[in-house]
Amino acid sequence: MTNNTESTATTPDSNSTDRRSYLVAIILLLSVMAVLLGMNYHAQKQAQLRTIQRIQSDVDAEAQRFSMLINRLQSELHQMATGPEVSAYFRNKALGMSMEYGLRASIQNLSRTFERKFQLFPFADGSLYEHIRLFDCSGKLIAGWPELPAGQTAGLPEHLRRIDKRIHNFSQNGVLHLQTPLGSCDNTEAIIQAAIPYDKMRRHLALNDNHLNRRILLHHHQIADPQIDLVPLESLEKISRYLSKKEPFSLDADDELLSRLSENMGVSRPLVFQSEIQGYPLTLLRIESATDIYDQTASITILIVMILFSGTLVLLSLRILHSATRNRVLNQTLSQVRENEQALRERNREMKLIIDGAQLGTWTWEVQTEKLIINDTWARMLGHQATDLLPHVTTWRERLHQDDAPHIMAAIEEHLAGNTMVYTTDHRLLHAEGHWIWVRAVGQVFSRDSQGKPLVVKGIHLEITELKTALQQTEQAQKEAEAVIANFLDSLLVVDRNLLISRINKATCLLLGYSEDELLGMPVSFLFADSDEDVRACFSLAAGNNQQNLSELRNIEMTFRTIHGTSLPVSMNLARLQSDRGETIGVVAGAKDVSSLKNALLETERQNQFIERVLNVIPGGLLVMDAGYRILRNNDTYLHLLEYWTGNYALDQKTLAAMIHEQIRGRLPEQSDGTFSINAEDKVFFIEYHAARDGYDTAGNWVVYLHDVTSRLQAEEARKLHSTVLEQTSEAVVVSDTNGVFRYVNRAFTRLCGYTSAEMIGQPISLLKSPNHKKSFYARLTRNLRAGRVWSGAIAYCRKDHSQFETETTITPIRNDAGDIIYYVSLWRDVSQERALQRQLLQAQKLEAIGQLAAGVAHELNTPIQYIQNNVSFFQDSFAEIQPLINRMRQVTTNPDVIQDSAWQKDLTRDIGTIDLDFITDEIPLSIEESLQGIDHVVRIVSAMKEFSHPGQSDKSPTDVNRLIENAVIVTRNEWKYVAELTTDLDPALPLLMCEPGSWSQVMLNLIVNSAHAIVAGPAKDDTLGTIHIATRTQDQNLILTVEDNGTGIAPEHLDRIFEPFFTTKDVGKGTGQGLAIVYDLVVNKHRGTISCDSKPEMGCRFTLTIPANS
Amino acid sequence: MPNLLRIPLTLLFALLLSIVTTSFATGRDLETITKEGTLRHLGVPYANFVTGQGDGLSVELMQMFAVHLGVRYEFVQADWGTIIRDLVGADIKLSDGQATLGDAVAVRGDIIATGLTVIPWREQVIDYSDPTFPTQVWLMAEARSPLSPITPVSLEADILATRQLLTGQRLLGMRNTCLDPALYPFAGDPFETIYFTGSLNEMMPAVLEGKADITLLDVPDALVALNTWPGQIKILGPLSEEQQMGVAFRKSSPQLRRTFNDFYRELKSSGIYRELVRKYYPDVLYYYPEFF
Repeated sequence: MTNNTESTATTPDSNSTDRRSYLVAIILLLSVMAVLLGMNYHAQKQAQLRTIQRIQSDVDAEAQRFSMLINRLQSELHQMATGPEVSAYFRNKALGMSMEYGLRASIQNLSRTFERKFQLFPFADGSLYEHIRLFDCSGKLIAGWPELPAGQTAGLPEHLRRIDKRIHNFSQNGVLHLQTPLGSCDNTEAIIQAAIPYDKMRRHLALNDNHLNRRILLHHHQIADPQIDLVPLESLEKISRYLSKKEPFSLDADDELLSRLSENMGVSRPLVFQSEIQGYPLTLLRIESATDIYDQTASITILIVMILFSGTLVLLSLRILHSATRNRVLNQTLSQVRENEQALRERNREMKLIIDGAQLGTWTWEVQTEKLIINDTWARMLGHQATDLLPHVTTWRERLHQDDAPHIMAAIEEHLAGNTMVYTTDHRLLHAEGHWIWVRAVGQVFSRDSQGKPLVVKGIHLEITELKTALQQTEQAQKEAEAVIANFLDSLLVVDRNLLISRINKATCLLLGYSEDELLGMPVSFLFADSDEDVRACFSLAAGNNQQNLSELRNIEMTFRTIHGTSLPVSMNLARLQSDRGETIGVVAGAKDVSSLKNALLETERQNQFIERVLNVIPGGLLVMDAGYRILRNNDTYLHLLEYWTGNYALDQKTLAAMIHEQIRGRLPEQSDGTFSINAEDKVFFIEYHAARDGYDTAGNWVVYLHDVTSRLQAEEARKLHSTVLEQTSEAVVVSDTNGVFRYVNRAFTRLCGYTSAEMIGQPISLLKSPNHKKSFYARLTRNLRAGRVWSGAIAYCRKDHSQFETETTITPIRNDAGDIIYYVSLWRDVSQERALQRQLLQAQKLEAIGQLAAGVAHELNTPIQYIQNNVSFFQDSFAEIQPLINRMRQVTTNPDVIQDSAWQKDLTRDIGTIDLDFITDEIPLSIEESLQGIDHVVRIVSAMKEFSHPGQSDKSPTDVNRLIENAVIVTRNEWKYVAELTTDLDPALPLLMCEPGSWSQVMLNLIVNSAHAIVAGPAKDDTLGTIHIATRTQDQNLILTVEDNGTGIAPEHLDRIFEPFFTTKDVGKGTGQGLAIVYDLVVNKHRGTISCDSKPEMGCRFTLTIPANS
Repeated sequence: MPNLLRIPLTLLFALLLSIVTTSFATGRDLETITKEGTLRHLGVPYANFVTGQGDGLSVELMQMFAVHLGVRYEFVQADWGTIIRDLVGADIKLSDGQATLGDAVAVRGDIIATGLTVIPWREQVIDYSDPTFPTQVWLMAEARSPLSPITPVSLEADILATRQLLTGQRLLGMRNTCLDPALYPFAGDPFETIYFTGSLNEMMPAVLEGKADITLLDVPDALVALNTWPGQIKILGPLSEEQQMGVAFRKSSPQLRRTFNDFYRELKSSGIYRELVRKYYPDVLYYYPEFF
């Protein structure tokens, strides 16, 4: 009702407000309507303007397209005018060629050219062009396309002939005529003309829209297209005024042109758009209906619709506003009621929330009926369901703890009597599970009867069992703390904010010799030998004014003073005591006697220093690293090592330390020992480390020992290299002691000898001795070595399989520091194969020489054999001839009387007469002698060959060099006898030379053949033979052998190379280049002799061999 | 084999071979061509008749004819000196305008179509088809030549006027062709004949290079030359009556000739031949409109 009254009181104000609102709304709506109408008008105007601009833009674009098309056509025309076909025609004409003989071809060529141009712009009805023609200067048609029908002629329009023969584009009968002159500026020889209908141009430009009939093309302000007779000339002149404005224009309503346009184009109010065709005196006009553009009917229709729409909108708005005002009052009342209900619901919900959230059990006690109404929480509090409990006060009373009943009941009675506003009690109730729970009860009488007796009492029960339990535990803890303090073994005391002792335990009293009573209330500084300032500073926690605002201090070293005045060092821990509100109420201090501990620490410190000194003198770096491999400590030696390395290897110390740390960390814990290298810029050094973990160290720290092993490793590397070289070298290396016992042999040795290393070590070197060497050889060898000289030479040895091999051996004595020889190192190079090859090569060369000489030798043999054969034939014939005579004479031996027989005598005489007995008897002895000489000659040659080529005599033997020379002369006779005369001057007293005869034969042969060849290659000497002279002499214990010729000589540039193997100046296939090399090897290498060569080109050459006679 | 027998046997073999060859040459008429399936077209690269690039008026005509016969077309290139010999299979001997067949040679083709002008001596050894192309011999000179083209009056007067221009000039001609001055009445006029040994197409360039003062050209070639060297050459006038060209056949191929004539008439009446001529010799249509 109160609310209704308030609503009624505000009604007049509301009505006034509503009226104002109506007024404002109407004004706003009318304004909106006016704005809409204005915008509509503006939009109409803009649309008309845009339409005009669009059409003008279209007309400009069309004019531009016309311009481009005409430009292209003009360009084509120009191209034709300057083309080779037109040029050829005029040139042929100028050359005097007639139509019958040649000129007609040029004209036809022109026509074809025009035809091709025609085809460039194909149209459904032919071409864009109407025609293309070439006129001469008199206007006579020369050529054209399409060709004129027979009998028809064409020429330039008469008016053009009159005006000018040069370029003039013109329009005629709806056709644009483009023309291009040919010739110089002053002399036009011809004109090319192309005719293009405007209609086709429009179609070509695809302007065939619905405006087709509304376009007009003006050429020089004359209508060129369409072909309609619109107006008299004066009307067009009127148009010309508008043309100069270059913008759309409309014609007057009474204009004659207007009426004609309206008639021809169906345009009522013509609006003319214009655009000039650039580059040509052409203007494009487009006629549009102004009625279509300015469509007034549509605008008015839209305006009316807008007004009606706006009016309707205003009326609807007013109706809605009126209804809204009436509803507003009802809504206000309704909303007030809803708000009250809502507030009540919220309050109830809040209460329920409080009761549920606080787990409050509620109860209502109807005192008169003893009825007790409880909620579910109350029942659950006691382990029941509400429905299980009797709704009677006995339900509560029976569960009440007997100890609590008296004061509970007293408090209730007091309240029911009206002496208290509420009653509050804590008491226990029996839980369904048999235990007691504490509840706090708050109750109040809600209604009383007229006599003041209580009718309804309501209250709540809150379970406080946990609270009660906590209080009991707190009390218990307090008691226990008291007992701890009293019985604490170390000193414990409590001071208040005034630094007075408030509590002190028995241990402190016993330590200091005071009783507890003597110390309680005493200043705490009384207990300490330290100054008062120190004590106050220490216990400043109690005053709460310590600057650091610490709540505790630990390990504070102070000194108690006993009742006897002695000092006791103690370590104290102090803690601030705070009340529940956080205020400082004192300090509790615990003290421990640390005098013995201090002594122990001092001893430990001394031991540590000792260990530190020991660690620092260890010759290696020590690092202590934790389980995470962080370096905890290092000794001084490690730092010294770092300095050494950084100095030697140009490394930054920090970087090096990091590298070492990284190496160790990367290897632990798998590799507790090892070696790693550190690469400096150009050097490498090696560090060996040993890491260990103390098994008793629970922290798992590592101790790492480091030392530089670079020198040691390098030495080992060098030793390894030496050992490898010795083992892998291809030459046998033997180390023997001074007693000739093997101490070391390498692999090459074992391969060479067939013995294993184990078989040889400790064995005497004589095990390998070869029988080829005499004792004296070994004796000389031993003498040399013992004298400390290096010995080199060839030695043969026996293998395990008793086969022999040859070596080039070098034996070097090894001395100790005292200079005594302790070992001999021998290097053996197996030359068995090399020697065999040399022998084979020598023999091959010898055989080669023999092969070369074979033909000559055969020829040498042939001559004596020839006459031996002749002589033998002579003997045969002679014998046959005298055979009858012999037979006749045999008859005498059997029958001597036959001599007397005249017949026999007659026959004898006849036989003798038939035989030239004198001749036979004279010639046979001569023939025999001659044959014998021949046979001797053959024998000598064969013998020489045999001696010369026999390979068996490889051993040295005393040799007659002269005889070797003679043999060589014989063997080579066929080589020189046709080119030279060979003379010898051999010293008969020449001593025998200890040599290999075969080799020396080879030497002589090579020298003689070379001389013969040199003579052949030398200059021709008019049928005179060259000379080869061989001489031997003895001079100063030396054999001198000279071979001289007068051949071509040796070129100076070849002199240095003639003894090189395979060097030859002979033609390919004629010399092996081995001859002089063999000579050199034999004389110089084998016999320690010398060879000299005196040569003069084209004059001759002389080889002088000097051989020690005792070599 | 005794030497005495070897020579007669060789001669006998040569005789048999000659007989076989000759019989083959003379016997290859339409029937054989149809049977063997190939029409061998003898041609010389000349003007636009045979361009040498696989086409030309004569080439297309022969290709059409081969299609008409239902046989394969094969072009056999020849030269002017031997083309008739290659057709008839025998050497041609000319003496006082009389042509006779000499030794037998291999036949290389069945038909000549290459702008071959009808000349009397040729008709003695080969047969021509109906005329396929009109021509005339014109006198040509370089544009810079002091000789001026004649002024046309009549053909007879024009030839006489042109002959007068020959006096003292070096005239380029070619043997065995219609451009041989010896074939015409002006042969005895006072000029120097230079016989060209290249191809017909190279005669005009030879004049431009100064190898001769003037040259003979037939009309088709002259018209091609006018387009090829516009303004560099000029036509002085005619030196012959109007002539005709035709397709040539062996005298032993009457069926082939007859079939071609039928084919040619049909082609001509259909207008196809005219278009073919327009393609290669457009100017000729205007010079000789009545021919086509």
